[in-house]
Amino acid sequence: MDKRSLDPDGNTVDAASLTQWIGRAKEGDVGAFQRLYDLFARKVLNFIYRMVASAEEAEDLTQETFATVYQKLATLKDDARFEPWLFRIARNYVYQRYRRRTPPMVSVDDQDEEGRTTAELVDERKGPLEAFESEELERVVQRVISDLQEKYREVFILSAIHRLSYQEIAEIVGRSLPSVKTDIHRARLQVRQRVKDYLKV
Amino acid sequence: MDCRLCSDELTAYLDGELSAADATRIRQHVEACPPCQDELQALRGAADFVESHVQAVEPVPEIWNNLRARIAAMPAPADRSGFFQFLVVNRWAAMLATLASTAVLALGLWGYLAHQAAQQALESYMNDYILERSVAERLYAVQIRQWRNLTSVAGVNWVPVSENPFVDQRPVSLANPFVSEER
Repeated sequence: MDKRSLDPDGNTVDAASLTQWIGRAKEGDVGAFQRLYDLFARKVLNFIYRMVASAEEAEDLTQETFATVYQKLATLKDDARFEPWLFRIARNYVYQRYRRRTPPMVSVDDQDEEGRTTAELVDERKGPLEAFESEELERVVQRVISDLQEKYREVFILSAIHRLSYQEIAEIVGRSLPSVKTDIHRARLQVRQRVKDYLKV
Repeated sequence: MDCRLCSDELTAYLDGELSAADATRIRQHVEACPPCQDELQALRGAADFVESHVQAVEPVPEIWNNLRARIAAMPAPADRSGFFQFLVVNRWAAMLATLASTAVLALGLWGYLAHQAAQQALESYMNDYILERSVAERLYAVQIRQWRNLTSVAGVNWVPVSENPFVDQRPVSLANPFVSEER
């Protein structure tokens, strides 16, 4: 996923347009708010999905996130910080949902149509990477990410998948830059090990 | 630079988060160190694997449709006005208002406690004074009884001035103090 803000047609959106839409959305312009939604919904949905490992919950939390954004947009002082602010709201909803769940979180999406889990599929194959189908590899990726502890999972998703800067990630998760840098490195080390374990490569 | 320090920086190096000087140092070390080269390659491989095989989930239309319905039921952000909305929007005003009200409450509490302390001090002082005076009264009463019992003090007629224990009850001579008695 690209770091730049893209509109639904895949065109880069400049900062001036973004600021204009935010300004109009603050005044209650639903059309401008929909432009913001179109720009960021995919990113937010995927961030939440990778965190909670459930498409249905991710859709629900995405809706909650944008509803809160609409209500609280007037409190955003610096429009340039919109994206980290948006992700902070999404992250808060994810952690609220974690607190209501009893661990461990088992993904209902971690099975194929025949009910086999990712681990079972991988054990069956034990061959070169090319032998795996695309959906199986996607499930391996999701499993690898889900295996991470929450604080490593969120920084991994934001850095490796959403390609946000370390500074933006520190702002989103509310930790210091050095702490975030260390956590990202540890997350990557764990991902490297898990990919090796699951694929036996 | 040793391998341990280099290893800790490899992810930041891959993500382009190091300064130019630090990135150069890492690159130079990796070029000369096969284990660090392998480590970097492994991290890069894992990152590429995830990036290549992660499949994005697309937002379904229902998310926006439901959201749109919720927004329609909310007051438009521009319609919310008033003192409290001013406080909600203006964070500094809210903070100042909170500080001011806390200061007023603290001042009131301090005044009340100071008044209570002063009252207690006064009460204590009065109790001590009363106790001291009652002791003094009892001492004088004893002395008066003793003087009343004196019957053989020459040239002295005991004249009780009053029963007031605070008035000096010592015997008073009736002789003319201006005439010498020595003839």
